[in-house]
Amino acid sequence: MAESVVETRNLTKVYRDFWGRRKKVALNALDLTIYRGEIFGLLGPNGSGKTTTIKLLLGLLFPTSGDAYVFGKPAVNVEKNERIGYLPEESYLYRFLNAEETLDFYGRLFDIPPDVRRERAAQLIERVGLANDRKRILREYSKGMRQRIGLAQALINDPELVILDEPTSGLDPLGTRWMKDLILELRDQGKTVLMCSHRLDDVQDVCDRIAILYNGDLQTLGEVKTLLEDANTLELRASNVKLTDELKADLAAVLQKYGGTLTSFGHPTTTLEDLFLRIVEESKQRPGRRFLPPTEGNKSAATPAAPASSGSTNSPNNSNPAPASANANGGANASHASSNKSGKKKKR
Amino acid sequence: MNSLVIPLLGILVLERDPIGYADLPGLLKTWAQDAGGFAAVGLVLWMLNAYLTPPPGGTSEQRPRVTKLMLMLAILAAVVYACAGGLMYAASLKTATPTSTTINPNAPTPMATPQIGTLDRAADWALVIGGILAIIAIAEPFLRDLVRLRWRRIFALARISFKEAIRRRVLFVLIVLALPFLFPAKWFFAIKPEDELRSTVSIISFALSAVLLLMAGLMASFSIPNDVKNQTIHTIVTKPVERFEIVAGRFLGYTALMTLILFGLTALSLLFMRLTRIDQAAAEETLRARKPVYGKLGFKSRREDFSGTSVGREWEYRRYVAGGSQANPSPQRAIWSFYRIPSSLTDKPVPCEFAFDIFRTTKGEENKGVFCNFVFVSWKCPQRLHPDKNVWEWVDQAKRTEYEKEAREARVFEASIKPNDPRWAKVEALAEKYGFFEFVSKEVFDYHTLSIDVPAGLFKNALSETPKSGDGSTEIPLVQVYVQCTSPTQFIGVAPYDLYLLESEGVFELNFFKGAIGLWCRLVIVIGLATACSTYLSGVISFLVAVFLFIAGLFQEFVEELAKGTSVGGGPFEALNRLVKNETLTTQLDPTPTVQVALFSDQVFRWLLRRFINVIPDVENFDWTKFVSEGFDIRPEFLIVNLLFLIGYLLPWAILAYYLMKSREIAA
Repeated sequence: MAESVVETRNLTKVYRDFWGRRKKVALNALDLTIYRGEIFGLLGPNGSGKTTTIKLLLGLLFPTSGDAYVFGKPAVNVEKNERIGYLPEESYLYRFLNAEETLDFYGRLFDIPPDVRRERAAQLIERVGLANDRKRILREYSKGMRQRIGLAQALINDPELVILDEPTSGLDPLGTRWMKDLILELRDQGKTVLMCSHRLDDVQDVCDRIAILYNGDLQTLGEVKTLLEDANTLELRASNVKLTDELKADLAAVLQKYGGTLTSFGHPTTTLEDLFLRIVEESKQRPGRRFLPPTEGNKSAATPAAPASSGSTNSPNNSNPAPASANANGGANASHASSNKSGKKKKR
Repeated sequence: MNSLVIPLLGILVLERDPIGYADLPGLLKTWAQDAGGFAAVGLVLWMLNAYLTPPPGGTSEQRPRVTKLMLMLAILAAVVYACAGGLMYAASLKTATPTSTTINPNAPTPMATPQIGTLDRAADWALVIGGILAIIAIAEPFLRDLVRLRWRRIFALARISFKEAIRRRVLFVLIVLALPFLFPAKWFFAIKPEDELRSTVSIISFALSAVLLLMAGLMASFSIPNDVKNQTIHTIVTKPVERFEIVAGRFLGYTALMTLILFGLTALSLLFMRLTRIDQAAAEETLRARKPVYGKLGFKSRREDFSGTSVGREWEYRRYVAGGSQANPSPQRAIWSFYRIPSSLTDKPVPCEFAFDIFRTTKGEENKGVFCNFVFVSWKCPQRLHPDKNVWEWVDQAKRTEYEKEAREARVFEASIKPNDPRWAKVEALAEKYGFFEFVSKEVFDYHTLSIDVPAGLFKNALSETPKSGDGSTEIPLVQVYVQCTSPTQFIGVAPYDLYLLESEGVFELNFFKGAIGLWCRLVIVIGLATACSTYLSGVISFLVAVFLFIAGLFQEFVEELAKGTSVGGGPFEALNRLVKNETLTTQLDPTPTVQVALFSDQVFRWLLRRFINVIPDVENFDWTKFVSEGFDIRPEFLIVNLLFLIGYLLPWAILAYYLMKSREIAA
């Protein structure tokens, strides 16, 4: 079994007012273990205790009862912070510093030698795509840029555990994809990532395991793959086949033979994210206007691109009656409904 | 009398002595008692908090808890404090005398007459030991964590404060605000020529104090609260940063910034001062750094308890000695006793400078001052008051006769000889031989500082041997100066700093910077106070607390009077009573139940104020403006003691800040 990086036992946080009266139970007896090398997602609606958990793990709050350990040390221990990188929800950095100065400052807090600090700062600025803005003060940065430099400061110490609070908050789709790729890259480097996010698709895309909190209580904990798997439904994908009533009837007959029922049948839709990224990528290759406003004779011209018939695919939308579609790889592919996530990871 | 004819020299008017090395043992003892008392209270609160709210899940590292050493020291301190209480009770039983139970509402609270007995002394030392134990106990986690502090991190945090102030244009605002005050005062106001530099120095000091203290207070008060509000602190405390490093970083950052600004502006103001033409009289008064040797002032007359006469002036800074005629001389003398004589005074004639106040009971002659005789004697030439005549004479009359004979032969007897006189060599020789020098009929003018040259031989005589007192316990002054007023019906008013021996001259420019160190200390106090408060309070409240304490420090004397119950009109409740009843300050109040309640409330108020008074910084102690503006050298001793004072004051605040920061939930 992998080494545990984060461990909470009966971790409880009760907020009290000035007179010590209980105001809110933010977290109730949380038992959680996060293992080395995994991406762990904390999910839950507002006020469910996600951020409280992270703050307790970082020593920003003290538990009312229970214990929190990070790398086997109590959460309030300062030394453990040597191995942690933290990106807060909003990138709370000094806005009068520029990117280089910001990384230099946080590098100094880790007591990193000057030459290493300079080299690492330059690499990180390059990595987060701010090379051209390294001398601009953060006040002039957009929210996305601040999130990028925030991530860079979280990585300045080459941490073993990266804690990300709403990492894609404020990022555009390009930035979101970049952030998700980076999180996966961190995992591939052997780092442990703990993230919490409101954006379920982001969590689904990158997390190995998730915990769902509601009102301070842990509701569900487990692998994303297992939790999302619908064992009663079968997904079938095929390419180079026309969507005809005859095919539908044949498939229904085959399924009926094995005791199943055809519930949906049609072309899959891509995600909006994929569509957006593809258009941006194409625009980079071929600059210029591509959008044609609708005219009397050409109403459909407003559509910038036809529904994807190639590229990455997503599982059929429930509203879409078509259960299967063509696959870019050209080969038929049948899998459980949740397996599309692993397919995406492979692509990246 | 044309005042320009008289050399215009400065004089220091100090209502209390600057604190020097000699005061350190007493100060340390008081500090141990006062800080120890606060530490003991803090210790009790901390232990109550620790035992009433045990650490979650038994994890001892969640918050700083009560360690074994802390507990042991706390118990020891409690035992010692209990002993001190017992000793004080025993001492009070021993010295208790039956007192009248009649209430005299107008009588100020009687000051405890210090009859220090063995029990009192033991109780005093027990309080010191208890205090030290309590301080060590409360500071134990702080000291333990000090070794974890890393200068690089503190430096990084200090740099941030520095950069923040510069990027947010605080520095620019400061310079713009302070700049107009740095120019010579005569450009803006009509000032007497001799006061030109004095006024400039005072205005610069006042302006820099106001602007810099305000800015320092604002920056330090809002820094940590702003970090908490903007949540920038979240990205800092989640790094391997000890929380006290944040406090230390902020404190040092602002201190460095204000140091730079202060000394930059000081240099600039000095440059302006030196580039403009300075009036000759002003230069003679202020553009100097005299190194004086002060003596202790005493009074002697026929009455044993004579301590100078009060002439009814409201400001009782000076005491007066009456003048007399030759036929009916006054026995009253103002005597300065010098216990320390530097060997450098034996090289050349030593100027003795002085400035007295004149109180006339009859109208004097126009353009004429009063006349005084000055007698300088070494310890080898003791003086005494003649039993029948109002004349001071030598104890050794045979020697006196011998001296008189020699002096008459050399035509220097009862004459006022100056160093440029050919007879000066004989004066020197006589002074060295007999340890005696007199300067008669010196005309003295109101508040004009004058000078007499004293032969170096007198000091050679005084330093030739070490005096030994009969009982070995009383120290014998090496040199004494007897001042007698010889104008009948006139009085001269004297204060300890009105007469001194001028040892040497320092450099004004250096002294000007030394004066800035006093302001620097006050800046550090404000930054330290504001930073410590801001670890728990909001920015606005921290600023107000720092300002309140600092301003209270400016009125410390008044607060002390209130705390001791020596203020005229009583405490606030008695004063309110008088206000409502339309009574004057001195009217005796009837002991009605209301008055009794007011008096009791005042007693409670005074008790609280006596505790509070230890929290007030003694900011006046750091003000050296008078020294610079009057052209007196600030001795390094004073500045070193100032620094020690500063450390002593800020150390308890640092420990408080440590606890507040460490136990604070940053994200709550």
